[in-house]
Amino acid sequence: MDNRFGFKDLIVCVLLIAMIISFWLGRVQYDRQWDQLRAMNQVLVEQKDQLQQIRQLLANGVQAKVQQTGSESVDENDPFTRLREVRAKPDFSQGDWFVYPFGSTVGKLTPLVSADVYQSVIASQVLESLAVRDPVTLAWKPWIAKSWTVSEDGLTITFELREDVHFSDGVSLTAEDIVFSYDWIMNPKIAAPRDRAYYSKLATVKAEGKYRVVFTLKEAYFKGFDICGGLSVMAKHFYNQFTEEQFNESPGLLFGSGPYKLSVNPKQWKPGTGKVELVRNDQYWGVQPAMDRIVYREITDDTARLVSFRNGELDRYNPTPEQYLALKKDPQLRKQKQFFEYETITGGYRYLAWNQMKEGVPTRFADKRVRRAMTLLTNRQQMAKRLMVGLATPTSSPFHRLGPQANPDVQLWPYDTKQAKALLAEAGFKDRDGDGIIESATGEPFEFKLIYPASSKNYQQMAFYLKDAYARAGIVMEPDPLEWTIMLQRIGQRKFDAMTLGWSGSVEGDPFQIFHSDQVSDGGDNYVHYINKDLDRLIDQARVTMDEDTRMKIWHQVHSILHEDQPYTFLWTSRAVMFVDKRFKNIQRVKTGLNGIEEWYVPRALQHWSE
Amino acid sequence: MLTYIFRRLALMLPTLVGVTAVVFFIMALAPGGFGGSVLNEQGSQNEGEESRRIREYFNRRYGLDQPAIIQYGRWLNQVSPVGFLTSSQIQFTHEQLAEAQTAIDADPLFGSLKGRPGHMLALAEMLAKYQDISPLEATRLLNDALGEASAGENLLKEINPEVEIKSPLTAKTTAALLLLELAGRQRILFARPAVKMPDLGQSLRGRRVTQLLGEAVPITLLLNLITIPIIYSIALVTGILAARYRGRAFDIISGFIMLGLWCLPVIWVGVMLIGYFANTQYWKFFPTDGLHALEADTMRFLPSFGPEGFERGWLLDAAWHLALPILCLTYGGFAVLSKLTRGSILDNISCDYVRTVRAKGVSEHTVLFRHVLRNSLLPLITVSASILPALFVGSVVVENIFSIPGMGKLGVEAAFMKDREVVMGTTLLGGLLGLASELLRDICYAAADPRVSYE
Amino acid sequence: MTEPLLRIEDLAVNFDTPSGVVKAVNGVHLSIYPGQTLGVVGESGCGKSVSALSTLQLVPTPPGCYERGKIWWSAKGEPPVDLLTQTEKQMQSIRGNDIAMIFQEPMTSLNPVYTVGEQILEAILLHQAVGRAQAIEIAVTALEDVGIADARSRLKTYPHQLSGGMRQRVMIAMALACQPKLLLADEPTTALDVTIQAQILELLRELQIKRGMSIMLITHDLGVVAQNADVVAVMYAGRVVEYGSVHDVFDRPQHPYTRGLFDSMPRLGEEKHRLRTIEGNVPDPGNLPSGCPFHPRCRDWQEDVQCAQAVPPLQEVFPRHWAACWHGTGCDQGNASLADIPPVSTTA
Repeated sequence: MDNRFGFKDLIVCVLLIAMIISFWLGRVQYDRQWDQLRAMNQVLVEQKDQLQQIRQLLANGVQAKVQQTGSESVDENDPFTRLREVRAKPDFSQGDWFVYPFGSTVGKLTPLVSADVYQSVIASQVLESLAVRDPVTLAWKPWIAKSWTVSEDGLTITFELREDVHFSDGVSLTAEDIVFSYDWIMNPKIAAPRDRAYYSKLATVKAEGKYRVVFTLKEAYFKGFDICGGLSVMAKHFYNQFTEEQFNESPGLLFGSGPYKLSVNPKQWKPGTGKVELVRNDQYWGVQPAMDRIVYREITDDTARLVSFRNGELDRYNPTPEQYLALKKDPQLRKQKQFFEYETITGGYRYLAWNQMKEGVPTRFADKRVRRAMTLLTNRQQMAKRLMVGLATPTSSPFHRLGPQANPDVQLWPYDTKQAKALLAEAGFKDRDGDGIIESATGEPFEFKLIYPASSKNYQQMAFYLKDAYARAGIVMEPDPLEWTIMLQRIGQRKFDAMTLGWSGSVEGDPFQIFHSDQVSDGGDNYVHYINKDLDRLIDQARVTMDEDTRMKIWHQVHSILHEDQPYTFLWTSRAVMFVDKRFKNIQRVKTGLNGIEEWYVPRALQHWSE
Repeated sequence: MLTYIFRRLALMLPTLVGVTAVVFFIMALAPGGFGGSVLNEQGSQNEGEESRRIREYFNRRYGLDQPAIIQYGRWLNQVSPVGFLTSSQIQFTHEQLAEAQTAIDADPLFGSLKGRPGHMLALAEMLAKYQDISPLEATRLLNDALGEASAGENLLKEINPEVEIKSPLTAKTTAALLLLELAGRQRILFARPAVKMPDLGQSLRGRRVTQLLGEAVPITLLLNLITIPIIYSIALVTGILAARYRGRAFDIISGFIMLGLWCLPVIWVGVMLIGYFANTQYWKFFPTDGLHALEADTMRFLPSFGPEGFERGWLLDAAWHLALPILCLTYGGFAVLSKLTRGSILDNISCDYVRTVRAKGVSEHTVLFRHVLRNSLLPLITVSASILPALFVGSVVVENIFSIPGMGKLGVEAAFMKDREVVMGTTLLGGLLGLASELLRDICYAAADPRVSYE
Repeated sequence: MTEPLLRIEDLAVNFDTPSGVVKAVNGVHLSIYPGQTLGVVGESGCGKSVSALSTLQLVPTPPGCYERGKIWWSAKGEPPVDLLTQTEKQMQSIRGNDIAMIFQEPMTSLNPVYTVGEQILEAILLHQAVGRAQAIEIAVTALEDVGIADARSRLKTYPHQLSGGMRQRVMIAMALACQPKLLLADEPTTALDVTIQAQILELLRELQIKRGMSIMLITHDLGVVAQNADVVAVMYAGRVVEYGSVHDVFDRPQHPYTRGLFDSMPRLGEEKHRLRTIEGNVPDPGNLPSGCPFHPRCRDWQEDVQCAQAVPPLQEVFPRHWAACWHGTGCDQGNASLADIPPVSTTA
């Protein structure tokens, strides 16, 4: 009669559940042990391979190399001069880990098909390219290639490879791997449309022998060498094991010749563990960096990141400009951390864009005088000081003032309201009815909307500052914050009056896509409808000029024209700020920012983590 | 009862279709359309030509340029176990491909095209899959298309009616265009109905949705399954005590505390907890984020005393990491449930049957726990159905603050990116979960209250 | 002279409400003898239920409190105990065991989530040292005694599956399962329709005779009292105002209130155009008038000064017939016993 669910039954249920849970936990533990065993097995196998190789080498007879001391024959082609200098320092010591926070999770490490911003940071330690830029001189330096020759017309570049480069499993790197890398990118089944578009400028990539690769471009392009020299080399013998679909879908296939490698088998790497670990490649063909391990921790919350940094769990932290000011004065941080403010040529610039043609009708910004007046009304110095807490420097062009393309003779337009008003009057804008707002000849008041990303407080502050500044000249500017996707849509359709945003930079940028008149139609990035035939001609010429000095002179002229025309009001370039734990030595400022972490080290006494 | 359960399960289907349809069309109508943000990842802007090509690629691969209702139909077809095969699911045997390769190698037209011969086979294979013909037939079709300009144009138009052919087609341009157009395109083959595995599709960033869910769901599920018993036990205990000592110190103080807790937003609480309890500047009782410590892989399972002193062990370390997130998830829940319990018990204590029970000579203790409590649990069961979905939503914030890679984060990121497949996958899962928990709740209710019957 | 089974002596129960102290029961004197049915009549709010609840100490004591009075209960062979001074544990052994109570609303008076059988079993297992199987037999017998057919399978039904009359029978079965000596019936038939009412009352009469049980039948229906009670107590504003055998009280009511009640009842065959009422309203128990609580509405003695100033005690106006009125005729016989009043016969 009474089959009610009583208290005793509840106890029985709870015990049953507890038993199931402890069973499952036991399984989990078992799996962990299994994973550890597998990892150990892997290491043993690798060691066995290495022993075999060494034995074989010994059997074949090995010639002992004489160790070259630093100051004698400095090989100009030695890519590791800087590293050798670091190693020669008295307190140099190998060891310790570098813990680096990411603000978002990394879903995929596989090159070419990953859309994560941080993937490139990790990949830069594992994959290598034919040439790299010297951080101080910005000239191209040989890396995997030991030398190269460029043909007269600039369409053919031949690279001679070093013969001692091998991947992290010991297999030699040959010209075949480079050809494979190119073929793999161009394979339409690989989900890498962006890279394919970038490399579509190449006509062919051929191997001639084991250590020579020949690149041919479809047309002369000044960045042609960038494309060839910057190609990340993927290992043919490794990636060949996978079909295209497997490659597209696997999350962790990151394998290369670089100084670091993934701490787990790339085939088994899974995201979602909260961190990505790289261990030092002990078989590295070049000079090894000091850090044993680089750990990238995924911490999505800003507060958590800062607290973690204070606790000493992270070794570096990038604050926002306001945070930076506050944190600089913090006594605890001053004691334990070092901070850096540095310029990067690749940092990019912020701008105000004036749309010259909206829905088929020329706007008031089509008049050069109006644009220049707007620039004169924008007090860039003060904005850099106040809004960017002094961490920005006003700029007059899309080229970074420390880079080679900037024309040193061009002076910034000053902040001059009187001249601005005069220019506006000249263009026909005067306050005709005494209400404080200037009107055109037809009585239309000078009003416009400025669109900017709604999610950024910094942009919002900027918009309000500008609103105030322009109001003094009788111009009504209405800030119009937009959600990011909507903003992109409007920009794409050219449905805006004015906007503010930033462009990222590179060592030598190509102003073609932003300022050339070819790019005015849909899909191009010249969305202010700026047309200047002289500029077009200069840009076209520069793009096919292979000689650097001649080309730079052309860029200087481009700079002057942009300065005259002010299609954008170029605002400023920002300095980056970073906090690093005090124990890291040899952090230097270079043209591209700070030197890479492979040049940093921690003296033995200060080392924190150990293997 | 069994028929009732079957009926409910059957009714889940149209409900799920409805839910997913609504979500789908809202996403489609939102500015930016599908994958709006994926194309412009992290706000970077691309060169004009490049961005157009990228957009086209995405359109082809995921069918983003088709009208929303067709995309929805496709997704339904993909997800349902009974549907039609798509062209990408066709597999050719080695022999078929070898056959086609031989035909390609033998044909002078293919050989004369400068470029990679391997691409010809790939092209033939893609065309064969798209048209649902054998690779050998595809090579013949290709041959015609590459040899004759008008045949090539017709084939291109067949694949993409909107393709613009600006200049007269040579074999080389035809081949390149075909390659471009076919790459990634999928077609539903209505001639091949099949019973197949439901496929949740691929995220616009390339990973399979099932994999993504498989990684994220266990974590969120773990968090929630630990949270729910905690919420209920604390709520029951405090509710009963508050009702028992109504009007006295415990009742008033606990009522005040519960109200206060309910008002505190999780965002603020989470950050405060990290700032004070995970910070060496104040008290460092807990870790700042994540699910495991950095050295967790090398730890033993159970806590132990090693040479360096107390070592936490993997299990305890995981529990230690979970402490703060679970605290954030539970406090809101038990605040509400506690008040609910208290109210329900007070309601029941003044009922007539309690008077009858007392008149039988039953002790006060038995009155409370055997009679009143049984009746008071009924509203709690009603509420329980909404707890699991609410926790899933609530865990978005908690997962973000504590950097736990769970479903909440997955869903929100996908929603921002308007990543079609992932959003639909999470909606489906969320819908299923919601409906399942409601069914469970109704069953529990029928079991608990004999007045309720579903016959 | 036999001892009364239950004797309520000057019971007063107050309730603390936000609007002041309410004197729900304000000096009640009652006695019940073994085998007797006492009918307690009165309007709503006159304190009948509270008096019955006080017997079992079931008045909720945060708002309520037993102001004064004693309730003497004499178990067989032992000296009478004051129920108001018993501890909770002692009361728990009396409730359902020696004294049982049934309530007004059978629809809500049973716990909806347990079967009928479980609820009866609970009472049995609590008070009798029997095993489960035997308890089930007792329950079956109890249900059969109250006239429920197919009792064994009925044990597994839930209250909501039964009609009102059946539920009341179940309640009675539950109350009588442990053979109590006194049954307090608080308006057991008010919520039922007339035919069922008759059945239930007949059942109660049967059981009383069979078991020799006493019943305190609380009701507001004079007809029910006439048919089923031996002795009647009329209550008004928390006091007993008339007390005596049914025969006596109904024949010659002594208290103006009782008279008013009888006058207002329609009689068969009488032609009436308008029913007679007692003018005025029942006084607010938080704000009782001074002196006799009925005097503002008393037709006969409204102007009397004594009635307005002094509260009349229960006086024996006729042999074994008490009334609380200054103007009832006196009689020198003391507290005569009502024990030898024969119970009303079952053949009606």
